Amino acid sequence: MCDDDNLDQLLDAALSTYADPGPDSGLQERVLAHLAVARATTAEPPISVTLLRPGKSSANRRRWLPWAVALPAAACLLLFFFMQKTAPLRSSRAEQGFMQPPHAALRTENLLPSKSGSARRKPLSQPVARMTQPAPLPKLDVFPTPRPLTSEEQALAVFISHASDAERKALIESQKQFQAPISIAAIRIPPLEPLKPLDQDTPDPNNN
Amino acid sequence: MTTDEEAEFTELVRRQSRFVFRVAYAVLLNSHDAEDVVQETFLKLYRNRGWQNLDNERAFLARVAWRVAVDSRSRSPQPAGPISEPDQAGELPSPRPGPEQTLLNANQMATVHSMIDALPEDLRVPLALSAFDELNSREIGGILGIPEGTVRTRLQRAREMLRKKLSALRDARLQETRYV
Repeated sequence: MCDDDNLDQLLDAALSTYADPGPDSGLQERVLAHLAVARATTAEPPISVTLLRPGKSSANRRRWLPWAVALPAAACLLLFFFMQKTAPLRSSRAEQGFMQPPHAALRTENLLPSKSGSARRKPLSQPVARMTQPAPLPKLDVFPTPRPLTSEEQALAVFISHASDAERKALIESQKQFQAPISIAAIRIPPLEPLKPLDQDTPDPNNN
Repeated sequence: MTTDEEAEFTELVRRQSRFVFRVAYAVLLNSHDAEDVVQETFLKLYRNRGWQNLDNERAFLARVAWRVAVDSRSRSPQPAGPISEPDQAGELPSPRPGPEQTLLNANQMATVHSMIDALPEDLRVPLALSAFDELNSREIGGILGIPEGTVRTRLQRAREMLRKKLSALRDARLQETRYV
């Protein structure tokens, strides 16, 4: 029992001095010197440092905190609205590009004013050509594609529907005449007679 | 900060720096690291002005110092490993002399300090805090964030372990002297 008491006393005595640097260790002076250096270096901090460093000026930080949240949020909203506005524009432009035939697209690109050589080369690059290529047309059952009658064809159809048999036959005959081969008779051209000398034929007007 | 406040803060540093050092040392078991923690703790207090109008100055300082020490240890590349027992002499990372030498020199205090260093941290820190300026179990629980009952249990376990080690050491020493 006495031994236990001694042990407890020894423990209490050891605990009371455990990790104690002692009064003459100079700890207080070192801590104060360190604080003085830290104070001197952070006497007039720039505003960015004040914002980033925790605890120096909590009032300032609190004042700037709403702005730090509000500004990025506003930027995000603006970006969102901008993208919403530009998205339909871009899609309509893309549609126009698809509707234009490739040669027309290339022609307009070539007509664009260019300031430098690199700018001139740009429209001929692959992505632009790929964008202006039209989609393949669907295959049709009838070829060539049926088209509406012209005014002459319509007039002929009306005439045939109202004309009598004799008139139709006459029309067919006239068409046949147009279709029959044209025969042209051979032309005979006799050779020209040699010219007589002027002295033999023509009488001398002085002899009379 | 006004001149009065500066003077007040300087007085606080003079009054409590040893206490803060002891709390930090109980966690880190290294004098240099403990001193760094003291400086960081007071610098934080100075910047936050959180040292003014404190209800329980010691408990508040102990909590801040303990937090800073734990953070410092987690940042450091060499975490505090398990401490060897005092009877496995001379391998303690303590600034004090090794246990064999202290035993030979009959320096009982240093031996007990080495034994405290060798305790697990969850037992060592409450024991050290209880020894510093008579912080009670409730205050220690508030500092460490554990229930008051847990603090009491740990204190009992720590004292019991130290008692056993001390008695074993004393018996060994008696046998040595008998054979000599």
